[in-house]
Amino acid sequence: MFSRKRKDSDFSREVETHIELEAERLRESGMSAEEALAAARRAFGNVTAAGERFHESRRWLWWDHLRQDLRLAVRLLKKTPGWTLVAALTVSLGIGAAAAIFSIVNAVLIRPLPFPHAEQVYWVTEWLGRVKEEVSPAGDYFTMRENARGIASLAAYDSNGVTWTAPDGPQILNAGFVTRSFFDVLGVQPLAGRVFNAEEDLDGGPLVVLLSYNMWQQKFGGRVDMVGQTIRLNRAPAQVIGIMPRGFDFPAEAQLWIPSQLNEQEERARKFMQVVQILARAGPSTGPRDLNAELQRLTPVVEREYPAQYRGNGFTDGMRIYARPLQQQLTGNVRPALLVFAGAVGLMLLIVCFNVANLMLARATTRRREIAVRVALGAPRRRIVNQLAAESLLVALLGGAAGLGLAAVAIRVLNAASESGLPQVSIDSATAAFAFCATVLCGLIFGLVPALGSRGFDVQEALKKDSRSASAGSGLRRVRQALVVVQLGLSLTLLIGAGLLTKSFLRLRNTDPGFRAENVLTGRLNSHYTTHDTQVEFFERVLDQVRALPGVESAAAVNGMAFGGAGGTALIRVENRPPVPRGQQPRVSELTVSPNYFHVLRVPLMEGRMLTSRDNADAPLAVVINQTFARQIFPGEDPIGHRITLTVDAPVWYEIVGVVGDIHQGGLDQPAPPTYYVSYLQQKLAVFQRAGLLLRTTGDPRGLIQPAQKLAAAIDPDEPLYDVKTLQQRLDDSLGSRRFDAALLGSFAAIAALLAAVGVYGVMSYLVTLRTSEICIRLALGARPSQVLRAILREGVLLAILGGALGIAGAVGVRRYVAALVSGVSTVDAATYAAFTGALMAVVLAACWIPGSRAARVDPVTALRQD
Amino acid sequence: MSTQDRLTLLQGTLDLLILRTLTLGSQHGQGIARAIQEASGDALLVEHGALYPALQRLEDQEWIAAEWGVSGNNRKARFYTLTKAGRKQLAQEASRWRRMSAAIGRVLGPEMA
Repeated sequence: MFSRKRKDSDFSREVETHIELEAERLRESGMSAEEALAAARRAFGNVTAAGERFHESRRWLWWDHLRQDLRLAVRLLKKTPGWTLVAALTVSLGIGAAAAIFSIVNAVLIRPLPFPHAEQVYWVTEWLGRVKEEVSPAGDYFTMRENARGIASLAAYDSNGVTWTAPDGPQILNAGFVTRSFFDVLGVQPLAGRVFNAEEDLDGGPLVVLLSYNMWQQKFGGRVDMVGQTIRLNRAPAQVIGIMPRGFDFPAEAQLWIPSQLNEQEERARKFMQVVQILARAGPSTGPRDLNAELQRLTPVVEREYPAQYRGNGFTDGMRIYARPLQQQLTGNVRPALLVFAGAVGLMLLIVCFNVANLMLARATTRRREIAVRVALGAPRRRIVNQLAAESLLVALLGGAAGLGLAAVAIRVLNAASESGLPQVSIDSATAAFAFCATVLCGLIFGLVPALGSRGFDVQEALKKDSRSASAGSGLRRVRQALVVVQLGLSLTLLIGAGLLTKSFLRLRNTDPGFRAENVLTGRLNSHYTTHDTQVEFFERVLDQVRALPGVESAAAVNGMAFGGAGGTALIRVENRPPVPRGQQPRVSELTVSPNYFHVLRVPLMEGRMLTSRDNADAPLAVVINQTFARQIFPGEDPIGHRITLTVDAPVWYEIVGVVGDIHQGGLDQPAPPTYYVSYLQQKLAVFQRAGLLLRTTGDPRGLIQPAQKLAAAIDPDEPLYDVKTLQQRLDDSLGSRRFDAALLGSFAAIAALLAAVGVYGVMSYLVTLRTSEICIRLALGARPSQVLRAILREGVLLAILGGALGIAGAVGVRRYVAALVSGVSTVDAATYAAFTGALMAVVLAACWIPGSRAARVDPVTALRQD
Repeated sequence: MSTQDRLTLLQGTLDLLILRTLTLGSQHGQGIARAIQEASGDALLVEHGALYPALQRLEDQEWIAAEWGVSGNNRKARFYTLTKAGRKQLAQEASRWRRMSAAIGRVLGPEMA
């Protein structure tokens, strides 16, 4: 297009040639040279005018026009500062919210993980028939690594807490226990020092450690001689061999990396079945399909390596090994929420556009005369449309700039409030670019609508008649009504969505957790003892001393914190029942507790008796089950006296002595799983190395934080009491992400509804103004004001009904996405739908009432004279 | 309004005449103007101020192509040639014009007679 552009000088040259040729012809017919030239010029006409017209046909003109249009737009917007402010503010709300959400979506879903060629990194896992979960035993990792073809490298890792004995007391740090290949798979090199060597990753190898950049900076002041130093980890000296680069944060929030030191031989014998996470780096030419095909090929190879008893007991039944991109694995749980937010913010942005479009229309209406004059003076329609577009673009850019500022504030709030596992974000160049594009798009949308409305614009009519009456029947009115209906619909959809989330959150918050959370302090403590008996002795001693603290009413220990991770799960068998095929046995939760656990939590006894300290190593084995257990395993039967076992061969039987109330162990939004409780005095199968401690206090539990920590330090200077929180806090945290989701969506919906209400009010006022003379005539002819008002309300109600129908249809249409964030409430919950539809109707009526009653009070004589 | 209407009418007509003239071979601006004038028996006077923008427009539409060349009497001039698309356009426009003038003729006919 640009190559075809001709310069003005080129054109002058052509005109000159023309005149010369003409003059020559005239000379040939007998004129003198001068006469001929003059005649030729005369015949050609106005050379300058021709040049101008040539110039106009060139495309450079759009630039001149744009500058003119923008200058005029600035002048016009300055003349109506109030209008400009409202329009720009509206845009800024939409752009601000959209940019804030975009920055999160970009950080989580779009931006690749901070590893070289991160798209080649996959998370590998297995589906095991017996546990019905995605787990990866370490032995399988070794089998895969040995037999894999076309996979560049494989690594295993796990994360866990380690105790660091710092100079000022012990702390628990997050550590990644990783194989040597871990850093190859991720493609990360240490900032200083080196990664593990082969010897250090062998079972029994020397204890070495890599520090995270933040750990190095914050805990060691960034000292340059850190590599080579020794720190005390888990009561043993460990040598710091390197420091990882800044921003390397995988597994999430790792402060240290320690060699996993897995024993390949033992793991491949599948003796202990250590569970790990597996990463793979596919080669550059290996796509996800190739990788999964390879893993499918490896599945029987892995399965064959299992000792016979595993294949017999259903453990490897239905085994499947597969991979998914690491990013997908890491963001899977926040993805639905983010999609809902992105959708909500999109709807809100549309409402913003339509609102501003309405404002533009209102402005266009009052400017009909100005536009008519311009058209009459010869401005082509295109120029008028361009002028309107320039104005809308300017408004959009003003609003967009303010919106970016708003987004910065919003992001700060989101970062502080985020409990959905969302990363900390900031406004980067991608967000700014997105905001700019969204702004321009908005400007085009709300600039285009009035332009469409101006189709069939009749200059003569506009000039002749008064602006108000002139447009009464025109398309503008239709356009505005349509905009209002769409706005009402979109905001109703948003309101219903937010309402469902809020209702779900409130319902969950009011769920009875199954215990009394107030006045309970919780914390975790690890014991360094290695046998079950010494571990139990240790915790007995701790509990005794804790109970002696002033302000402590009672204290208990459990191997899984309420609202902080369950204990284990087990497959059980009930005595005297026909054998169930292996792998189909009921799977239940198992918690090992100190006997007074139920007393401390105030869990009610439903039947039988509680566990007591008399249920000790010498007594018959006893368990207490929860109501769900009783209901599921013993429907219509009295469970008391039945015996259950976990072991297949040489069963060890536990007698059910009591039934207690259900506890929502995994969080208020999780149903209580069937659970049995066994006293730590009797459960000898599992280690009891990490315990959750629960202290029921007589006063504010927070007052006991310090005494309890001091006590723990006195008992073992190498083991801190950590993760200290009140139970109420854990309860609140378990709904944190739901609260966050509901609040965020709620604020979008509130803004959208507010904008829609303002939009309706604006349009209704406008429509009433258009009908003022009609209303006056009616009043003058004897209509009662109430009749006038009713007519206006009728129009509003019609819009509200259409908008309501649209909104309900929208809410039903997107319910699939909302379902991911809602629990305990149907996504077509009639009460929510009715409440918000009703509320919207009420708002619309109010918005019509104000201009309507004003019109009904109008004095016909004055109003008609004005016309 | 009315000036604009007449302009539009002229514009379309002029385009048609230019395309028709170029079927005889490539020609420069002055040559085209002359040819139209002569072919119409001097009935049509081409307004030169309109001619060049029209040429420009046709060129933009890719109905004609232009390049600098040397005229019969050794002057550098911009020569216009009809393109394939232009030929097609001419055929369409010409038939449309003929139908229209025939129709107008039929309408005007009885009253004239």
